[in-house]
Amino acid sequence: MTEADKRVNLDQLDHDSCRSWDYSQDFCVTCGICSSMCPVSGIDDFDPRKLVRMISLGMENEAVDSRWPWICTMCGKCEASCPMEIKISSIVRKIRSLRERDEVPGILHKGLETALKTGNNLGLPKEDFEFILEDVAEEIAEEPSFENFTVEIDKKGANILTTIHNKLVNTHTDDLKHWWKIFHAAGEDWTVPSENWEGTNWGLFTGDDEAMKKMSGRIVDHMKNLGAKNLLWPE
Amino acid sequence: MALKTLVIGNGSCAFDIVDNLLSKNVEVIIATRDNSLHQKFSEIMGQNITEIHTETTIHSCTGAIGNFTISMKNNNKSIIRIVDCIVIAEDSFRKTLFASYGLSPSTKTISLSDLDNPENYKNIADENKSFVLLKGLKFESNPVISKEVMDSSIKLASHGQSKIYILTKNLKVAGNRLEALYRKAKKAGIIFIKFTDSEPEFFQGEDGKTCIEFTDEVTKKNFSLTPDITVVDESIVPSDYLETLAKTFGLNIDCSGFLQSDNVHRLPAYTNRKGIFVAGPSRGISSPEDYKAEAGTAAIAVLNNSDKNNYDIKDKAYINKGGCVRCLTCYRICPHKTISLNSTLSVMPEGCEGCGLCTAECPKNAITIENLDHKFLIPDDKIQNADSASKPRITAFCCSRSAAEAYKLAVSIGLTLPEGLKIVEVPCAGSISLTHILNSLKNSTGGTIILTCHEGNCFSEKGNVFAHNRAKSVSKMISDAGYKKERLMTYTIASNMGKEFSNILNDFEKNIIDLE
Repeated sequence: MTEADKRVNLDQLDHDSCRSWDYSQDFCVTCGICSSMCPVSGIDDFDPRKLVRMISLGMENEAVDSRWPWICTMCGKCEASCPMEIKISSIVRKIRSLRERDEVPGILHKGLETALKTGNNLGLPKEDFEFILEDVAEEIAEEPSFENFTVEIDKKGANILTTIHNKLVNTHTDDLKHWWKIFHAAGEDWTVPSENWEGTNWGLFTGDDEAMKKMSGRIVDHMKNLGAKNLLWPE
Repeated sequence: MALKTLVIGNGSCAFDIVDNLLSKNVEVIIATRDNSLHQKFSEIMGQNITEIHTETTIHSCTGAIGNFTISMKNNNKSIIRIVDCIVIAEDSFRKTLFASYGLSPSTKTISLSDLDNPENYKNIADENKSFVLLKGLKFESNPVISKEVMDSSIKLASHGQSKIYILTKNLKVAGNRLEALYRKAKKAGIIFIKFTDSEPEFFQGEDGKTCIEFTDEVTKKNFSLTPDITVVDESIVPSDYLETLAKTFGLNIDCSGFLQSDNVHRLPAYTNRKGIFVAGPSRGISSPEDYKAEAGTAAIAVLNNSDKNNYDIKDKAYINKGGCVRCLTCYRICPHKTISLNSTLSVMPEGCEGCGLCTAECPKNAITIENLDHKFLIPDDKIQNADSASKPRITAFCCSRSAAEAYKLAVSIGLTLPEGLKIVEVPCAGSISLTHILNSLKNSTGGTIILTCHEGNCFSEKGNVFAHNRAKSVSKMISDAGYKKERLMTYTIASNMGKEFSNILNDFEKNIIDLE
């Protein structure tokens, strides 16, 4: 295909298609400050300015199909530096939301699907989860001055209910110990739910508002059912 | 003193100037090449103090502020008038730019003025769906055209058109209120395509429609556009009369041919000649509102001359008739065109700015300005050296408008300066003659430094350039004679550069000490 064949007839695009979006991308002055701030600019030719430009021209189909919105780390440096106050990471999330769910990149899609189905990104069964937590608690109890340490799962009426990031019960179990020890030393009354304990909410990254709502709702339910007074959501 | 002023021009700006001047009882003479006056003038026709000359050109001008003798030509009739001041406010012109885009005007490819023409507008807006407006792609544009292009686009959008594109190089939104207008245009759905490193290509079909192909510089995607209407921008050019007027009055022009050189000292309404002012479309490209404001500043500039003390200076140049050989050097170089040519050459004192360019350049040393004599400025070194025998004596020639002010600033904020520093303040660096420099080198144990205004920032237009050139030739002379050329240096500086002044002088002293 020659260059000329690839030429798009600009006035065939619907420039108004994204105008109803809840961001002011119309005001981009193409200054490029976002591109120079972006930590992933240049990967696969991505830069935030191009994406904003495509949206304002009405090329959202192309943007949705491209890898670019998934290269973005949604760190937000672009919009923090934008002189026209364009909500660039919101635009990225909007584009991500428009992709067919089974076309969402592997790990994000799989993690979120698993979390929705099983309560956590890893698909870790309840008994394995409880075993790991108790194992970690036993290790702590072997240390001097932590002799009577225990973890109380699904305790009703605790002062603090805490969620768990899946890596803490997978590759980084030692990281649980630090704050559990602080709880112990402070005499804190705390608990962990045995199911739906996942603290991460990958709907944020895939642009899936429904999934986010469901994941957050589970934590709200824990608070109600267990009668916990405070929530610690260390994400 | 009742001021009499000649206003050259016949547009809104000229009218505003005349109106302003009449309201302050200035006696006004209007001269225009046109057959009749702009209709606006009818409002003030009744006031009998106005003298109007239509179909009249300026033939010559002699004399200086307060006493200009103007010779005008009306067909074959000669009119002579004596005036105090002159204001030039000739209208500028629109030039279509079809040719520079390689396009021909047609019903589908039109100029910006065609689009804005109220007679055609409704038809054009009703019968067409898509519009492309070109701006500054082939010819450096300006904020006035930017505003018109955006205004027209917004008008089309409010007419219900949804496909409106502005293809532009630098949009120049730094102009008054233009960023707000840009936002308004974006909100109206107008698509801006900006070109920085590339240009679109234009192809015109037999139906007169223009096809535009380009690569969007942001997305790097290739696009084409074949709008129903392509609107080609225009440039604003000075009246062809200005060139003649510049020659007649000895005025400097800018790079576009407007009657005010690119020199900050000439703002807002001044020229290189005392008593001759320029405003509005003769001065440059601005919006109609700005032209109105300029008409006001030009009138104020005229009124400031009602008192001679406001423009008369103390130290003027004087040509010693015995020494003058009529080589005309002074006549050529005087930046304020105030040398009069009669049986003998003389300086017209009212127009003299006392810059001293003539005194330095006169090959017969026949021109003097009191207080600029080298014997007065550079006293014998032996007496000076008694104070600071251990330190090298440094003579710094300082232009009164920049370096002398920077020196005062450096002193007032307590910066260190060389102990053996001798400041020689001169009206303009262009007045530093070969004799000044050579005497300074002879009398100084250390070195001589010349500090001038930055280039393009000289009140005498090129006085600083003269100073640098002169220093360069002396530098060669002294190094040929076996004298260290590092003892003579030149720098440019601005009045607010006290710290830099101190640094330059201290470095210079250090270099001189290293030489010994």
